Amino acid sequence: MNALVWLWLAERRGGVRRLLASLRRPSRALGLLFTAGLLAFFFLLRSMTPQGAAAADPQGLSLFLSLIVLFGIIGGLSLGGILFAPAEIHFLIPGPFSDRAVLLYRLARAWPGSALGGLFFSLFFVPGAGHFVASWLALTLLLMTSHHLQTGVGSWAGRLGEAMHKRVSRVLRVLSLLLLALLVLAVLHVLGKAGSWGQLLLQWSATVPGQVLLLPGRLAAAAAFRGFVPEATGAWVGLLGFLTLTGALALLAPLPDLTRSVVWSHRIGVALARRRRFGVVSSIPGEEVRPRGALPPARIFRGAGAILWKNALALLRSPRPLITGLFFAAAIFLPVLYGAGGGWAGRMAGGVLIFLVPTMISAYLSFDFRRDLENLPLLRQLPVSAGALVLAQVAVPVVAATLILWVVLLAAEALGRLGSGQVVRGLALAPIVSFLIVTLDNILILWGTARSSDPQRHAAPAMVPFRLIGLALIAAPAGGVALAGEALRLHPMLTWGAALTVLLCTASLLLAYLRRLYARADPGRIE
Amino acid sequence: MAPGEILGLVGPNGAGKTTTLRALCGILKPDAGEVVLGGKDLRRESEAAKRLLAFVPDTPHPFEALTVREHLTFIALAYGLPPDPARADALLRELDLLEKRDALAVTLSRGMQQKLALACAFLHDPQVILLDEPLTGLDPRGIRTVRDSIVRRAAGGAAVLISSHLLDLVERLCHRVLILHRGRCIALGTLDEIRASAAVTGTADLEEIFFKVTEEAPGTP
Repeated sequence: MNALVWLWLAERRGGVRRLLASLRRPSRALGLLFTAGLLAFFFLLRSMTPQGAAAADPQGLSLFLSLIVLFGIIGGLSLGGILFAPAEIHFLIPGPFSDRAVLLYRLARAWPGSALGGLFFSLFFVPGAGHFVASWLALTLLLMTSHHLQTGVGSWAGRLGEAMHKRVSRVLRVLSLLLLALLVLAVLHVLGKAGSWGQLLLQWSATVPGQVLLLPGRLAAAAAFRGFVPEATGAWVGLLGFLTLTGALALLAPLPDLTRSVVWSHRIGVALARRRRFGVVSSIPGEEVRPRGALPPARIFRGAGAILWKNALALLRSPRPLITGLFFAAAIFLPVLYGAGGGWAGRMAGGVLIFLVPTMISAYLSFDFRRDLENLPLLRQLPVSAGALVLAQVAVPVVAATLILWVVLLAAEALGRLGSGQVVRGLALAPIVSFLIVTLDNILILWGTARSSDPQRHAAPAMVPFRLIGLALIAAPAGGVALAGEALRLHPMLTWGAALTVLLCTASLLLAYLRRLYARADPGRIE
Repeated sequence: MAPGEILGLVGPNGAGKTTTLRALCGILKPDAGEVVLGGKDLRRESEAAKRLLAFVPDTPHPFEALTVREHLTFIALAYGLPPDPARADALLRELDLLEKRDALAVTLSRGMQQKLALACAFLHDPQVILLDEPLTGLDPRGIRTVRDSIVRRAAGGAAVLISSHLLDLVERLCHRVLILHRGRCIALGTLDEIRASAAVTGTADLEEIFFKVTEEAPGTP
């Protein structure tokens, strides 16, 4: 058997084995269960409500899929190279393989991911269409096409040269943001409510440029909805044609630029390794960077305020986590509200959202101890009280999470998905809930570090069950008070006041515990 | 330690040098005893004691989003110092970092990060300076620059404690030497005093003394 084919199979088998083995650890099993539960909850909401059932919409889906293809092109252009894993750089590139064989292996490595993505989108966008296998296959082929495009375009873009690539990247960043907004509109349209912007987008898709640009998505949507019938033959042939064409584009990429890709992969690999350990992507080592943006060192930043200044500056210089958090919150939870519709399901979804949004986006906003674990020796020698320091550490992510929550809540109200009473309560709760969750995450990182010096043991996935337990402990007392108030038919204001007081007490306790953990943390276990 | 003194802390791997330094600067809580810096008890008057202290760890860990200059701004803010760009620039010039002042610190080489850590440590004119392997990762010019900076601080009245495996450097730089072995002090004094207590020849250098006292120390296999 060809060594690369064998490697591909062995890696897939190894991946499954690793997943199964990791499930023996309760923390991993619980994490998977949590994810599965969340997805099930989401799909259930979609299938139970009239909006969800009516969501099968080939036109909207074709728009959405075409945007994914465009993302592939933009992704490739932005990267300006091909990403290789460190092991591929060590073994395959210097190994006895032709460059094209290595490229083919690199393409094939992403196919299982495309199949999984196809499954997710098929369940999400084509509920009850009656052609499950066909829709899965069509969406998988489309995602493979997008990946081929990203690889091929990335490799060709590598020829642009460093200076030109930097210029192009700036334009692409703006374009990517625009596409993200369009993607959200497309999702909302598929779910049935897009408003005038969504209608405008659909009108544009009917024009000639729209028809051309959206062709791959249109073909995939047609194949997904019609299934394996003679009328869909054209769509299937077109889809396979695109797949072959983009595969050829990737395989015929200019090979000398593999060197550049290797350098890129190494730099990004180092950054990703830091991300795995600390939950953030740091700047790429080996390339001197002069950042833009500054924050004046005003007097209010003296003492513990210096921590606040440092974290605010970090957020100012890398706003991407904030934008990603906002996008993530909007793209996932606005559809949840649409899926839930009005009535009890909508009210429940609104309540869940207030806790879930900060929970899900907290990892993106880790401008606190999660970024500063390596810097504990420096922090500990500062002449600042531990209490003031921990408060300053959590301030920036709390403010950022609160702002995101407010934007999502106000958008939900503007789109008519939440009542004004619910929104007012949500706005009031947002800072407290954000504070609770960010503080909990900081507690977990310091606690996990104290528990084990193995970074894997306190990495984000390993902490999922503890996070769940922590969240339950945070929400239970206030939730209990609120339920008791309703059961006793107390005045709503009284019930809310009591629940809010309990939440504030919980926040004080968490802050005190975080201070204690920080004061006792041993930086020697982290370095 | 007296003001202006440079004390060398040497010992085999695992002897407890870094642990000692961390306990001295309040990162680790000592099992027993107390740390008094400039008359301030590190435990009871933590913030006041820390104002007199600077610690440079063996591995520099700059903040990810801050430039070289902003690291000094951060330290100035944290210590409540008035803004003094001229002083910051002078420090950066002294340590050959002025050209890099607007670069993100994480993107610099390890040696430059090490010099930045030293600049941060010197900014608030500490009375006590604890340096853990301060010369690791530096090129010959960097070693000379840092060595001169340390001597200058000591001449200005700071007590400097240096942990290092570079015995010839310790011998040349330090007024006294402390040899640590398995967490215990087995020799302390000037080179002549240690020579006398270790019963070695009058011309023996620190390396010779080091091997003799650590091999003869109780508990050595």
